[in-house]
Amino acid sequence: MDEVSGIDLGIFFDAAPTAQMVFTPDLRIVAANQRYCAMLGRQPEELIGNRVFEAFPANPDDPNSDAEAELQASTDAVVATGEAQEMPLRQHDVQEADGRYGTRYWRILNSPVFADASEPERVTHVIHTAEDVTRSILGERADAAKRRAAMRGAELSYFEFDPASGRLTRSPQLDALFGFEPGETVTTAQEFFDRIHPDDHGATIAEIERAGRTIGSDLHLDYRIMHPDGTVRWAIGHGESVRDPDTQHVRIVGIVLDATSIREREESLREAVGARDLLIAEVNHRVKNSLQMVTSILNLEASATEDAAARASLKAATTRVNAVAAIHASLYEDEDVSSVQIDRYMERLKEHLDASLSSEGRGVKIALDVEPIRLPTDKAITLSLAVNELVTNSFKHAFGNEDEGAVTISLRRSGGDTIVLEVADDGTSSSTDRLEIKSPSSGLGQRLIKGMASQLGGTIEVEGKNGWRTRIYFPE
Amino acid sequence: MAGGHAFIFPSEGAAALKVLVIEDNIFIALDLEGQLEEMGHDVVGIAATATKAIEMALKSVPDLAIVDLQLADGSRGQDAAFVLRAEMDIPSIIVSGSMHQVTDEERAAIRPLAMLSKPLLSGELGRAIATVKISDSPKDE
Repeated sequence: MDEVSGIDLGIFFDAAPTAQMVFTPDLRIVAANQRYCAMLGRQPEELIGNRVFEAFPANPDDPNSDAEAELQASTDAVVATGEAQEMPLRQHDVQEADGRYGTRYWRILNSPVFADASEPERVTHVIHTAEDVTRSILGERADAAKRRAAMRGAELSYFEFDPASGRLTRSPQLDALFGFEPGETVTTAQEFFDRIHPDDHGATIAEIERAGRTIGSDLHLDYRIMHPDGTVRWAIGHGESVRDPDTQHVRIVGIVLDATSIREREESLREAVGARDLLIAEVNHRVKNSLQMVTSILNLEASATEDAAARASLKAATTRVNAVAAIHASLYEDEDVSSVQIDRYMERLKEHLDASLSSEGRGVKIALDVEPIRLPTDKAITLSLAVNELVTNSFKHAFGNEDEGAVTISLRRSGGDTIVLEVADDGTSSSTDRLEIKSPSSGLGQRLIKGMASQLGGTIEVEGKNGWRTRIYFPE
Repeated sequence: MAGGHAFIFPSEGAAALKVLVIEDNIFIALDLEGQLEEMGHDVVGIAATATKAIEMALKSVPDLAIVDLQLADGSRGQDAAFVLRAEMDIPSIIVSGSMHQVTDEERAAIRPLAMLSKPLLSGELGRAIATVKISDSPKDE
């Protein structure tokens, strides 16, 4: 008992912020403070009276564990010298409540206690101060593992460049990337710079110099490397400039990625796209030529025939083929060949209808009212044929010989994904005239319109007030 | 004689032109011939290659050539059209399925009166020839 304060000095031992245990020179535990017990998950009574390695047996799975011998040696040194001994940082796994061992790293200080007043020089006990450094050790290990993983394989290399001395410290992958043999000793950055492709050399050096001028600035490199044998490699580099805390020199540290395979893939992709474009142009040319041949054959047949009805039928066939053909002209105007900008196409179809119907329609005009809509090519072709039939029908049947009037083609969205095509005329002839099938050709026209509406997945609506209007509703 | 023929699109509309058709597809060539004759023009010949076209042009001295680009034996309509324009001052109307084959330089050298995409719409050729009469006559007079 302390005579001044009347406090048990053991309280200070227990309250100490460091984990401490006291044992005799033969490693028998005499005391352990609260911090120590808490850190190791033990009660004092489990420890006191036991020898250290009875309380904390070595992990049988850790073959390198010779903790007992090391602790004994350190204790012996304390006893021999009467001075504190620091033990090398070491692993000693601790058995937890469930019997498993937890990986633990320790920093340990063993200090002497002289408790025998009759022999003040003799070390009677050792205070063992333990610091659990597991977290920081494992953290460093994890970082090192991450770095190793990042460098694994030949694709990524690490470098550190000192512009003042020209020294380049780097991982071996960088030498391989620049085409240096494993045995070659390369010390200066200049030897690396000399292998940068002449076309990329200036920009690369300028970027390194720029990063060197401003501490903390990012470095971005994208360059080719020319090996002495002519092989070209692509590299991408990222890094930053830092000030070396010891020398105060500026260093540029970073990584270099071998991007050769990426660039080669890009290159072959570009070539493939080029070949595809060429193929599309060739196919496009052949399709147009073939369509021209078909219309030419029909034209030739039409001019060769004496029969007026046969000639009309052939002309109707020609207009239908032309309606399909006009789509092809619109089809390759932009990148997308699977769909057509239908509003632009309708302009062309209108021109074509104007030209082919001008002789029949007298003073009749075609008007367009079309929203910008893209449609899949299949639908666009069907739609254009439907427009062709409807407009032709109006010209044939809506107007008398002296009539003037208009046929309006409109195409717009009608809520949701429904599109509505409407062909309307302001013709005077009665609906009964139109429903009458006057010739095999107009009968075919009606059947085609019905068929095409169902091909579009649509429904037809016909209205006979003030002229004639046909609407086809179909999904986009 | 090169450049010297005094022909000329008459100012009265309905004049017959002498037209050379340069086209290697016989159906298309005959159709063009039919359309041109229907318009009242006179087709002086059908050539399937550039060489043949130049040969026929020298012989018949047409007022106008209708020119396809990809011809038989791999020859090019542009080459024929260029010779016709440069050496005989005969204008062309190009009719092709692949207009992009004509470079800007070729276009500048040939000075085609029109470039029509195949397939031709009905009346398209007629309208192109009609504009020829208006635009070309003052220059040659």
